[in-house]
Amino acid sequence: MIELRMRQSLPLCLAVLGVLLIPRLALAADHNDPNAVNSIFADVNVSAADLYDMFGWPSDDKAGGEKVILALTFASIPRAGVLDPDMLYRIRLDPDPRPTPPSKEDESLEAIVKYADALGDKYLKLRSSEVRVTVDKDGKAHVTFLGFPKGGDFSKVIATNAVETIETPDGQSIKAYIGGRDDAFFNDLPGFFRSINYAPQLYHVPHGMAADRELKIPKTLLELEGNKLFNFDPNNPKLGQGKKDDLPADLAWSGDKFYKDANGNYRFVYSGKDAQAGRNINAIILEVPLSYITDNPKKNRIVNTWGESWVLKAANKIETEPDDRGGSRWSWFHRKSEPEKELAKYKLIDTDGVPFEDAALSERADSSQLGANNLKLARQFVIRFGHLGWGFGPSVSALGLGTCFDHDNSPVSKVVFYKTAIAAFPRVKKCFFQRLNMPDDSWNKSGLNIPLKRTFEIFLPNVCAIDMDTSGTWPYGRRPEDQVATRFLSTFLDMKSGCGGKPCNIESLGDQAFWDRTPIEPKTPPNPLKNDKPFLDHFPYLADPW
Amino acid sequence: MIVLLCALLSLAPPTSDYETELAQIQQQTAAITGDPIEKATKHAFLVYRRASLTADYADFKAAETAIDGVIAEIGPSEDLYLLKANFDFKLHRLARAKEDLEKTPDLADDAGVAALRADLALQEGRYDEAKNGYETALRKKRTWDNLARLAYLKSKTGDVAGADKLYVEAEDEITAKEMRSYAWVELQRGLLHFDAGRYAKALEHYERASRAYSGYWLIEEHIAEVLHALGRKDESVALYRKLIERTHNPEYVSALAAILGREDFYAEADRLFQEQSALYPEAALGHHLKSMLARKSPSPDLLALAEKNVRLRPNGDAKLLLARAYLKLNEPAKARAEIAEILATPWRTPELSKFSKQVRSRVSSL
Repeated sequence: MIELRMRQSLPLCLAVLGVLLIPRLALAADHNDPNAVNSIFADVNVSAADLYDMFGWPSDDKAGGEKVILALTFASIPRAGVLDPDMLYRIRLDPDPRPTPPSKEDESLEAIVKYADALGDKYLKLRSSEVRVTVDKDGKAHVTFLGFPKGGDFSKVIATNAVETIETPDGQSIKAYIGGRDDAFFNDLPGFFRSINYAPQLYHVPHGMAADRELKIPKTLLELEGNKLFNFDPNNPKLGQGKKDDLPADLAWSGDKFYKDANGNYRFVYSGKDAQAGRNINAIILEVPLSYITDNPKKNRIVNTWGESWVLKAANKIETEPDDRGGSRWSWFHRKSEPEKELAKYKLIDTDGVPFEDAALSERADSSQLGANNLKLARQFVIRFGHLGWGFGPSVSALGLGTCFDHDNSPVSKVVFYKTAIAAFPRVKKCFFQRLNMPDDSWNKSGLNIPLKRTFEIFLPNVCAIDMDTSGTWPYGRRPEDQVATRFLSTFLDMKSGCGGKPCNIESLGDQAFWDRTPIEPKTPPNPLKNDKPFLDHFPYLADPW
Repeated sequence: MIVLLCALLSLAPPTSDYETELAQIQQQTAAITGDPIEKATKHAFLVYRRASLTADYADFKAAETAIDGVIAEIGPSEDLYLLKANFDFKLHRLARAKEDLEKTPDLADDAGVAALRADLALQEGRYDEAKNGYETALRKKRTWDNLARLAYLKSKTGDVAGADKLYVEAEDEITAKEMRSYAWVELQRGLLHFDAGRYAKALEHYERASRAYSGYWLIEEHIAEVLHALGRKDESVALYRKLIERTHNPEYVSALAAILGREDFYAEADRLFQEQSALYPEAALGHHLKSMLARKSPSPDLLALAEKNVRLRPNGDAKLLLARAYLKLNEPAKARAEIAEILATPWRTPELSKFSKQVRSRVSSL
């Protein structure tokens, strides 16, 4: 036959496809993990796949039995109240008994790894129950309940942006709200990014420039003397707060002390301002009876939950007939159930369980989006915590507080990278094993002998572990009013005697009186103490959208 | 009246995915915000994106002007030099693309840079280096485009089944937010069938591509080609005519000339090729050569152009064009020598195999 034309060679065509850096055209949202949907980068747009927060707590209303509130929030794309029909969201649930505290605590790296391995086995084999949500083009939400112990799997189609009641097959009622809300996350996100030298918040850093994300200067809570990259510049006050500059050529810091002003005050990298003020999110909010989640509510007092976002694969958006790609020779061996077949049409993008786990400890790696099954990251967390500790530990000491991190009394933050958990572990041991004090007893509503949590237990596995015998405040769940960013920083405090010789607690850094007497500017807790809009005292709890 | 009609047409809502994307680029260009540097950068990216989509040489010129302008305005930026490297590569300016990449030292570990370096190696006939580069890029980032790159290399080195397997894997990585990418991979899968002479199968893939991303000239021209191969001449001609009206692409004018046996159409094609060559001679060269080879009589500068093409891109594709030029000029021994040179490399394509037979037959008949 006649050869009609020149074939375009593949690389040229790939370039035609625009597999190139495209500028960010929307405002960055918060959280931004994993990196695949991290719109903080100059070349990644905001995506409905970017999960923001997983909230979960026991309902204060016990009438009709115990209930669990679950709220998964994510980017409001295309807009608040309108959900993307190409998305599938899962809220996964795994009820368990509260672990019995060991009679003698083994405070070794091996103990952490063994703990993680044991949980890893569980989560590898886990067949959790789940609530699966898709929204069609007409704005109707398709809610499917899978794997719950009573009544079998079932689905309901409900309206979005309205409180709906779903009757379960065993006659229970679930409240559901799927739609737009105010962003319940209140946080000085630019401050957090400045504390970890996260350049994409302040500078144009393309996704491909991995080495220029967290710059190799000390992480710190206090400004470093002569740090032109991240110190507040009164001549460029909006830098990192919506304004980005080009990445400077010199990315190093060669100083040896924290910055102090003429009055001898340190300068805080945090402003205490709510970077999320006035922003909306989309959310899936549920109120589920505990007796629907587990057939033994008296025994299973911990409801582990986490969220996942999945995007429809391209092939399934247009496919009308089977492709000829064929199946595995073993495909007959494992016949997929209908829910499995549905899920196979989607691609997992993001998971969310513990706040700051992906952003602070997993460095937003796409490959670390493992959800509950993040146990293989245990050693990596030790390494990462060691690195963060060399930044935050000396800052905490400079503020006159005690730190659990062993930084050899370093007068200033340092950049230290560890290659092995064995090397990092002696430095972080105390932080990982100390029990995190609570500010008072209000969290323990039952008065039961519930042990205070240890740091490593919070981050492994990556789930929001709701303790039904508590108020569900973090780390016994997560309530909307919890200031989790400040609480995360408290994991670097010496809980035994770090606060003026007295025990610290997870709210110590949120105490305005402490900042008032500390030589620092601005005199503010790192993050705002309240959300920009008051939360509701009734379902769906998160405030109405702006 | 005509002005009014044009205005009304421009207000008409886009009717295909392709038109929708072009309209989005236009809207985004109109709504660019930020400081002057940010605006200039975004503008350059968007103009480039439009050119990538239309493949119109005038749009490419606008993109080049915008990229050079923003580099002149804000100084050297690795991000922009990477964009420029991709631009130059797309326009077959391989030496310039390499120079651009030299200006991105901080991106040396980037998977995208590794892939582009491998693309350059492939274009220059360094196949082992290309393979290693693609595999490195995949180790860094197992993305659909890197999978597709390796698939393409496999398809050009005789492993068609391996290529299709990788294309399938690439498709599985593509989400509903990237339908054009999915359509493009489907197109490649169709091409594997086309090259093997399985035209009906090729059409299936092309049509699936078109369902995924409608109105795209790149898909439609492949459909036009395969319709002709399937003997559906009228449909093919109608589609080519539509494409010519939309794109003024001389390749399609040449294709139409070949189908209809209208040698007079080649004058029009040559005029359009010359317009392209005036802007980007390296990019237009291969396409023009192919057109020349399809004509009854050889053009006087056929050989010189084919040799120049090999100098620019010393790979199997370019050498095969040179071999075909030799045969066209009735020099089968030289064509055979050129084929032998290709066969000394891993390059193995159905087109090469078919042409080798043709050359052998001509040589033996001497």
